[in-house]
Amino acid sequence: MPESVTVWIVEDNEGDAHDAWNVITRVSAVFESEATIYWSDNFAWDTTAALRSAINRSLPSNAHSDYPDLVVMDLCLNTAKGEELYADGFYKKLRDFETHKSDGKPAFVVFWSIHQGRRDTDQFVGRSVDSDARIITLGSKRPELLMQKLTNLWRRVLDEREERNG
Amino acid sequence: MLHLFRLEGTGKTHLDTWVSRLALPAVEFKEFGPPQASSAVWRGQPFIIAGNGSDLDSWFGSLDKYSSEILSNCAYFWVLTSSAKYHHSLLPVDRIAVLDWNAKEQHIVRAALSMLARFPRLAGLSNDMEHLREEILRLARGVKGPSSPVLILGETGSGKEEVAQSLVKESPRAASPGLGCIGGASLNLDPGLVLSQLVGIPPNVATQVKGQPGLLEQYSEGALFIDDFDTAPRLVQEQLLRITATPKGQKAEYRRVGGDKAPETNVWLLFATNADIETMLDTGHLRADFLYRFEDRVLLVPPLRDRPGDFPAIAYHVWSRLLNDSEGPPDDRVLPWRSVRDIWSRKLEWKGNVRELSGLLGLVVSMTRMPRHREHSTGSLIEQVLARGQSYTEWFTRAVKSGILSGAPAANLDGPIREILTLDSSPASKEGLSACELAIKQALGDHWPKLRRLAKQRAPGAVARIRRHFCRYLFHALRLGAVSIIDAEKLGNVKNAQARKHLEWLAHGSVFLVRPKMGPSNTKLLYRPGRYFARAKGFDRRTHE
Repeated sequence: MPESVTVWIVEDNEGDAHDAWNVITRVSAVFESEATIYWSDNFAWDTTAALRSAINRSLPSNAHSDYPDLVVMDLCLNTAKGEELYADGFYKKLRDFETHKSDGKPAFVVFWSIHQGRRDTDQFVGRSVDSDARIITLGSKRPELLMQKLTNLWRRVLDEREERNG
Repeated sequence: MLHLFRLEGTGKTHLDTWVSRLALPAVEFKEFGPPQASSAVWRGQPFIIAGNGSDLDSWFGSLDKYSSEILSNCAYFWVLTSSAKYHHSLLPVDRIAVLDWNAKEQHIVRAALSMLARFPRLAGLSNDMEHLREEILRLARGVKGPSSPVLILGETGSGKEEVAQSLVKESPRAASPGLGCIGGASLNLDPGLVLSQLVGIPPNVATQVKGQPGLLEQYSEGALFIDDFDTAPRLVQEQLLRITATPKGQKAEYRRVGGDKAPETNVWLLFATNADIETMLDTGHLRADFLYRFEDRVLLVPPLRDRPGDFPAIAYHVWSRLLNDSEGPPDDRVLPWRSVRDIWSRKLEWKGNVRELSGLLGLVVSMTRMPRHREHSTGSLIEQVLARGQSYTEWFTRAVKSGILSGAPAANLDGPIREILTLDSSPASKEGLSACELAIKQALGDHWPKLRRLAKQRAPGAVARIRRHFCRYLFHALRLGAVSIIDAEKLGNVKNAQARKHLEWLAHGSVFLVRPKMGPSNTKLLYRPGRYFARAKGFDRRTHE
């Protein structure tokens, strides 16, 4: 039976979310594993409803979201006031949520954003990277770069799972 | 920790009953199912394989040559089955390794585990290490007691100091003052200087010279570890010979330069060397009568390549220490057992023994701390490093050159040292710093965190900058062959005023570089050409924990 890896995409731009979804399905094919993908388009923390299956339309929109193995996360939400940092709240909720995880390690979180260079995002990214070894930052939003990072992370997820199970 | 691997078809009732009688209050216990049994020998923990005869045959038959190598050298595994008569060619014949799950033989496992727990510093599950543990107990608690000298032989990095520490810990001398150390470059100084360190300086021997107790006096009721004693001048050997020649139960008398009284010492001398004794005798570096004193008190620490049974346990021990000591966000990366097998199966020479393995894993841990390597699995990082050579120097220099240890681009420079210094002098990117820090950290060992703490105390906002200067300066020291002894004239060639400034305040605090204790305490002399400076208080291994 192929291994299943759960990936969350937290991204308000549907085009970017599609790119991420494409990359994830390609990476899962490389490893001959299954990917269960959930998507949130608004950074609202609701592990049962807001992580909608809008990309993978075959899933019901209220699909229960498992603990993720990987999270591909944008940093900002496009609001009436312009782009605002929303990733911080979501990230904190995610790590709190994972404290209840009985088995395995916290998810790898990939910050996927072109908003680096802003003071608030830079500070948040800098703080998070210094305190959490399972955060990966990307310099651009190019799908090729995401593909490269996710390929490595996918291997790590499978390796860690194998090590845990012996 | 004790691992229990249950093979297919093993009656769970038998096992549960047997395990419930094991009663291991201080030992963690972990049970694995049949799919994990192939990893049993590579997890670096004592283990039990439980199964019926035919399943055990299949398990032994499934082991590749490297696993068989580890197993046949391992003194801490047992087979738990329906009959104690079970046998396989890979099972040892000189100890009870087959246990009947219907019999009450749990004490055999308990005794072995308690022996292991007694020696936390001596990682390893091999037959050689087990023998060494027994020998340490014999010497530390035997009839001759801890006053007769002991000789510890072993290649560099094989763990001679850990053996000395275990000897003292098991002896009645474990309490204060414990174990003092002198060795390496400290013994390779002017004979008078070395002798002064050992025997001390009597008070009022000369104007402006303060009296100072020597190591023989400081550790009179403890032990003194004399590492690389073959490098000691003959004069020092002769002084030590007099002390070792004293009959048991009597304190040895010795004389201090310029002193009129003969002080006494009851110190327990532990000598160590990695040199070939025969060559030392032939070349006159060692007096034969010196050697006679050791009688049956010689401990041999075999090289790592000859103790396959120790390899996984040492790898995990080192890994865990490195993760605990390293900086950066907490990361509980595990060392995959497949990687441990991969490293061993390369059949490397391990000339630097445990220290070399520690260097390899240190490179990997250092990479895991770099943001750009975070996404890589530990196994793939180990592969990246191993692919670059057969020994630590190759792994390190080629890794630096290829840029995997640094954010800086690969440089076409003359030698590895220059590359590292170039990296060090480049803008203080975290990654650029790491490559140089790594070498320094490995040279300084446990002292590195002290330096870091000091830097923080001194300038909380500029820790990275100060560390960079430390690296730059200390690397020059390394290039000269030792961190503990630095030729100030050569250091003076470093045209880096800021580095000097930071070193100066360290010197003022007597933490890093100080003059030999018998000299005047004028820190300005630190940069005077031709002066030598000894290991300082903060780096002094005599401050044994």
